[in-house]
Amino acid sequence: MKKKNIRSMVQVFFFVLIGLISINKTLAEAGGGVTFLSDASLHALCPFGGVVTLYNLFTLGTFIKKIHMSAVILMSIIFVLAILFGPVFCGWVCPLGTMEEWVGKAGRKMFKNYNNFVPKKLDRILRYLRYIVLVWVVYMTSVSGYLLFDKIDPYNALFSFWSEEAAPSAIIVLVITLTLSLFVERPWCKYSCPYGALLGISNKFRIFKIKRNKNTCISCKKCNRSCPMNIEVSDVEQVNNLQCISCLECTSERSCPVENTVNMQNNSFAPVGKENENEN
Amino acid sequence: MKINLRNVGIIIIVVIFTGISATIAAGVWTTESDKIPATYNEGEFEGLYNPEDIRGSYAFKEVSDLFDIELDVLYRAFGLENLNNEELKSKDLEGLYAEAENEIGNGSVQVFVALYKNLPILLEDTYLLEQAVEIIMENNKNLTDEQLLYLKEHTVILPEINGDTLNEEDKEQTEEIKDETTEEDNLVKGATTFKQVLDAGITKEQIEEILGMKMPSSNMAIKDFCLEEGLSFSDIKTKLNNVRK
Repeated sequence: MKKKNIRSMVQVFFFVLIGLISINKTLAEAGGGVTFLSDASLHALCPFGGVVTLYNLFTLGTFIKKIHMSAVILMSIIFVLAILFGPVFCGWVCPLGTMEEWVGKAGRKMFKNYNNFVPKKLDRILRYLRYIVLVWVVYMTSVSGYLLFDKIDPYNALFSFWSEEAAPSAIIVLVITLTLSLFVERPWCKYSCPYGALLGISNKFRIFKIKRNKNTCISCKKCNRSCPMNIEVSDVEQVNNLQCISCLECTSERSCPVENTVNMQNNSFAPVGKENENEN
Repeated sequence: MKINLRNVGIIIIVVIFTGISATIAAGVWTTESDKIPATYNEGEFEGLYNPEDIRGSYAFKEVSDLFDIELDVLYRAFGLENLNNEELKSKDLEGLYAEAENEIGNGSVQVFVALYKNLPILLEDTYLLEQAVEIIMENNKNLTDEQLLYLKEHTVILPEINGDTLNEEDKEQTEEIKDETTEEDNLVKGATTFKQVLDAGITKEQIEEILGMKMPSSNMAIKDFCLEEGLSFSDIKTKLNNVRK
């Protein structure tokens, strides 16, 4: 029997936390709200804001509009986590990713072919889109000094659709994202998220990696089917794919039926006959 | 070393909240603007606050204090003199002038402050209300030809203030403003030429008396003439409209 899904609990925690802070901000602006909870803006709590303000911070010593030191601090913390475990922010913390997953659960029940609608060739090309978005957003923000991304940011729209803060275009992007989530798992993450594109690079050098023990693997491919990002874990001994979000759904704790076969670890699996050396 | 799900979850929460707590304790964590704009780094204005860093979250009172501009001047420049709302923020202009053809917002405040105080600013595509342009021209006699031309091309005639964004008290005051400035009753508007005024029955002599100088070519827009000659378009417009009534 698989263990209780700790990841879901962490996701719910961050989703509720950000949601409550957003509501509290709206109430505070209207003269209400509670004091024991932050009433910070969504931009202040988004680590990607830290990324897009870096150019201004280094060249002018100021933040771009709407961004504050908290975003830079969160960006740094998330980078530390990414160096250790890869893009765990995407798989465990990001409320938009969580929302996509929740909608995706309905899609999984509705469609047998869920998460496999996009032809592989097209999918491969579309996955480059998020790097274009990343370069565009960082460049345009640096040049203009304005947070242009919030005009299309579905994360911002998700937690501010009830206020004037949410741009209509961002709400449209959010609706499209959530609709597509019924057919494709995490469509925004796969094809459009600039922060996911940046954090994904950590998959090349992260300390703890997803590793598959080819000696014990029974090639059932359950790891492949469980991967929200469609990574073929069963084909590699170590997942270096830029799309991995470190959700650990492929591991022996979740979908892999063989114990100690797909793990997140910093060392390699021992060769046959020396397995005990790996037991720590 | 193998890391399991539970430990990853715990580490994520511990790292994030320890990081936040540590920076709060160190006084580094801030989630809102400190309301102190950046300063110019070099040149003759080095050390002075840069209007380009005025944020939408700044209240007009704060802009007034930071840049040493009388609050009444700011209110007049943005048509807010009858609202009496000290909490009004620079970003609120967008909502108030939502119906305007060109956006009046925080960028307008930045440009107004810069040109009023004769501070350098990159002029791109930001619009100002006509009264703001007049105030700038009255106060800053060192405007360059380029800046004058920019102002001429980026002037917006006061639109109706959008009542949906105001509180009840403000709405009442806004109604008063509207009553005073019903555009339909007025002959002279932003694009009105001298010819149109003549056609409406006002004589050349009356016009020149109001202008205090010779009237230019009748095809010229009155506003353009006022901008060129440094005259208050609001005053001229009001006087001409009164003659007609």
